[in-house]
Amino acid sequence: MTQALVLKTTAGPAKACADLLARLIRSGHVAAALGPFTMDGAPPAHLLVSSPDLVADLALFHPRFAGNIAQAASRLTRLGPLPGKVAIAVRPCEAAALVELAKIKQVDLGSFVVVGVDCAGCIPAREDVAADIENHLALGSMVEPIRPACRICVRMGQTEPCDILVGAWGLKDALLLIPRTDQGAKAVLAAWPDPGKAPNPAEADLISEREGVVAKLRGQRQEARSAETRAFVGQHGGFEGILKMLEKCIACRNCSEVCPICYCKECKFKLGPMETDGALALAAAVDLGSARFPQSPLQYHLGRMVHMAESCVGCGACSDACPHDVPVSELFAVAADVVQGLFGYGAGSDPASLRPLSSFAENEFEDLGR
Amino acid sequence: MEFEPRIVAFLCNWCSYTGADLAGTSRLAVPANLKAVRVMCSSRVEPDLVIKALMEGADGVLVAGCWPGDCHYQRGNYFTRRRAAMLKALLGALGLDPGRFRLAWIAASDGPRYSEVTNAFVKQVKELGPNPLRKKV
Repeated sequence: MTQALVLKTTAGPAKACADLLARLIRSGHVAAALGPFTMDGAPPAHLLVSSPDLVADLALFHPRFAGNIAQAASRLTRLGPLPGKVAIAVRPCEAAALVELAKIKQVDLGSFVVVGVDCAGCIPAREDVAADIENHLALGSMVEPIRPACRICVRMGQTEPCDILVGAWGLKDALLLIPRTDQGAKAVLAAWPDPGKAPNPAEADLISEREGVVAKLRGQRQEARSAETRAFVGQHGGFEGILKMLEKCIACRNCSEVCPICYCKECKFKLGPMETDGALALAAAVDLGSARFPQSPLQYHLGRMVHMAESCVGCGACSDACPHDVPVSELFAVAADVVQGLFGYGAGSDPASLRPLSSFAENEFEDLGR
Repeated sequence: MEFEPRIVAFLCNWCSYTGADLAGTSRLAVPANLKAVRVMCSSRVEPDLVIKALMEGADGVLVAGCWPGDCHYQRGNYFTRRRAAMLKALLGALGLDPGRFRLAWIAASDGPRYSEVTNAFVKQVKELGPNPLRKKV
């Protein structure tokens, strides 16, 4: 593995990353790049770009979340590996989603050179403000206004499953280019075949500068996350609270459509067995005077929780997609912390660890069932 | 009139359903509150089904299977146990009466345990009262 390099960012860090991807394409190391691009001033959208010139529109440090790109990676490789490699630029939550999807064989990581990029958070979907993410990264602060999911994100410093990390925390006018795997080292070599023209090796204090900022931020926000999830349960816990919170939910299921972890082509909640039987609903209505039909949104959300809270990476795509501003990502942050905490599992952190509900230990929860 | 809870009991074919049968043939007292659903393995009962039963008006849900190590399919009930732990933790964290859900290991030869477990669970759910979701949602 080669050592970390320093990328000069005279034209801004986004352009420096675009330059890296353009080099990878030009050298033939990858056939295309997948990432968020702003074309003609439009909001960022996920594009597969093969022209090195168009890569310049890479919107890596854009304050708007374009959806979890792991979902795009999953769909690209669902039917099998790609015939050529694709460089994919990911935020920490997107990298974590790739790890979880790889475990359930919903993405072929071998088709990608994964470039992980530091992220200072995104603005809420309905806001439209210019935000200087680059400056936030340099100063070690989070973007404002910030999405609730990003406010309690503790994923800064996410390393898996990245081949190359692009570090920006605490760095001014420079980026760290850290190859993490053999594939990452080969990619860097392909980008700068002439060692004389390659970026300079990074000095140790630059690396520790970034690591210091990452550790500090993670500590701060771990505390914020605990406090916020506690407050959320205090406010919305219990039958009354949770039903009130879900009052506006129209069960459109957008939250699962955009969820990178909800990969099922046919959602179970759209299938017969989970639907309420019409005759039973009528009987309940006659019995009680009224009955909700179709199923309550609470059933859907609880059901989704038991399906994917074990792998929830907290990207907040669900809240962005909710047409009625139900605090879905906050609810799922609680569920994720409960479920992942119960099994000592961190979604996205370790590709080798088994998902908790697909595994077991013989000697555990021994008071249950007695 | 005293509240009589409605309880959906998912019983595994190999142990718990047979245990329930034995309780019956042994003329042990078994509460009439239970609606038994026979499943091939307790691991067939995904948490969604427990939630569905609770949402559609059950006051309590019992999932019963073979003791750990005795599963007819070797390891099914270990998965059941993890799911049950998760569901209990989730319901507890959200303040949704985790006591309405009970996991119980009941061997085929243990009719008395079936009687004990079911009577105790009915008593427990009686104390919790009617499922607030029944009228609310």
